[in-house]
Amino acid sequence: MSGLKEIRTLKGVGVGLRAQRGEVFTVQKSAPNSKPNPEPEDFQEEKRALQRGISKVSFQLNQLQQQAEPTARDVLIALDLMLNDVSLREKAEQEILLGSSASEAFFAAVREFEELVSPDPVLMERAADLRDLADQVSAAISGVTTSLVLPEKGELVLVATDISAIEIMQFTPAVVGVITQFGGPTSHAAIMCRALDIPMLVACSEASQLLSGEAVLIDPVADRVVVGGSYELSTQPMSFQVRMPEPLIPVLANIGSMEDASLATTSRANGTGLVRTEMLFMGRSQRPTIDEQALIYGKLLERCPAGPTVMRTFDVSEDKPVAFLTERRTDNRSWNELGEELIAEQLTSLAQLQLTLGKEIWVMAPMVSDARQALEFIQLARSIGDFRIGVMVEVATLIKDLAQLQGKLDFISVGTNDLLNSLMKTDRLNPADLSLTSHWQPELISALAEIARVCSDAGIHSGVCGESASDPAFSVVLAGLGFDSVSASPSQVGQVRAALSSLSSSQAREVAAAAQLGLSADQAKTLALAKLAGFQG
Amino acid sequence: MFTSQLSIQDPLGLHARPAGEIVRLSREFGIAIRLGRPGEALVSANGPLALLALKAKPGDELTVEIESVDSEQVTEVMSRLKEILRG
Repeated sequence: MSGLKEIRTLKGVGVGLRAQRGEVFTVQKSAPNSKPNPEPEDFQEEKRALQRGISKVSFQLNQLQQQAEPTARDVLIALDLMLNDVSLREKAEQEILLGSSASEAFFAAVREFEELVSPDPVLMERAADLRDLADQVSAAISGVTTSLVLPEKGELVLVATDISAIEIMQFTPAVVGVITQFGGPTSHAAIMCRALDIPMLVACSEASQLLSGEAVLIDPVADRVVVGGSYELSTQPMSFQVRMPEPLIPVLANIGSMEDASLATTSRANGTGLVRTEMLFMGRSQRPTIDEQALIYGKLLERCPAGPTVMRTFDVSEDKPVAFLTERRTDNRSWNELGEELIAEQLTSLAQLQLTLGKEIWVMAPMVSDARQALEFIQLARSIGDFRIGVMVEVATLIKDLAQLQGKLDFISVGTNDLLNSLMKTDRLNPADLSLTSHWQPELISALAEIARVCSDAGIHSGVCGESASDPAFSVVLAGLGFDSVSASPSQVGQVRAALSSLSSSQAREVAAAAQLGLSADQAKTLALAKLAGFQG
Repeated sequence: MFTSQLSIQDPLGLHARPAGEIVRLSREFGIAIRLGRPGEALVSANGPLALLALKAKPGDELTVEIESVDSEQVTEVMSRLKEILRG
């Protein structure tokens, strides 16, 4: 088995939970068709053309509403309201009087809205919906049909720069997946694909590299497309024989939004292992006050599952569209790079809530790279509230310092994705190799074993909240290595619970031992899965 | 004309769905509804886009104007608005 087999993967953001293989079908969209600008006396004619274009598309949306199921129908109604927006039409009519053709004028009005709402990511998705509508209106004005011409048979993965809700309503049964260069996971198109159980990868910047006819695997759980990939490579749920009412170790949920919190509660998570607090303020350019933070965290905590809730202080280590945070970013990567008073305010609002709601709040800092930084955070948090205090382990240099934190630190939570990057950078392996991004990488597994051992000796509660904890089979390895809890994405909590309820502690240790024998990620995974399958018989 | 203040309770802020519902509310009653940030120009709820462009987030206070002298109608519209903004 070779860990260096050449496999091309493209990254993006996955929509849906099911992996899907199919043949690439690239959709070329024609550029908006624009007539020469009207002569002055044609202004009225252009206004009528605009009205006709809007009416045609509106009629189409209404037709589609009749046959759509509820989720799709809500989307289509929202689109129709946006299309018929009075202020949008007034702006377009002004543009016509300034000499634009009907199509150009509508696009100009859409651009104005886009500038108004930029850079709010959710509203930018609405602007993208409007652009799609403008394409349709433009086509209707020039009498061009925009309907997608799709084969009826086959298993096609549509690849396009972007896709609109109207186009999705025109899919034939042959469409089994969608890959788009732009778009986001909360776009109307994504909402509809989720409702139709069509797996999708959005924001795939390299989508244009895919060629018609090429076989691809959309692996939405792993946020990727594997060119030529087979189902074996998919991040698929395994079937587990549940033997115990409760899992070997608590299975918590990772939360970044109100919806996640509600989903986690229905998934029977034993608590919340990670709240990505910065995600609650997406698009915000102004720093929220202590009271406002308390209001938002309070609403979130009400929806979170029973059990402890681990709140991670603001993190800007990734590209997140939180303007009031990213503008404070420095080159000094550390939990307090945003300014200690900002984190102190956040902890103050949490301390207030802990008193009023009586909820068990744990707080933890991201981006801690040594014992000194950890101690600074512990000191600040202790001075503000009666929390259990922890840090993320996502920088490799912190591992050797963990033992020194005995008696001072209550818990740690491993961010496996960042820790893997941190470990691999020092090893300078070939980044083209797919296996390097796998949590089955032997370097990561041995680092995890070390972390679990040190924490157990030092009496520090150890958990894992990285992507790896959402992989049911890997969660068994984590339990076997000695971690005290795992925290998975809400959609995966059920599977992870099932995996951890299917075997005994000593069996989990055997699965972990098998994984530690692997010399490559592939080998580690194969050995662990074989051992795990043996216990399901 | 009736003027009051409302706060956004919806955890997602004033997003597409509530914006659309306000537009439909205004049509259903056949009355003009205007919303805006206190002290700033109000926008008409005759389409969802101007409402979205307010970029109202959870906890934000908005001024609301309802063009009606029928107090029962105003009470009904206000309570529906509150419900829409609750999310």
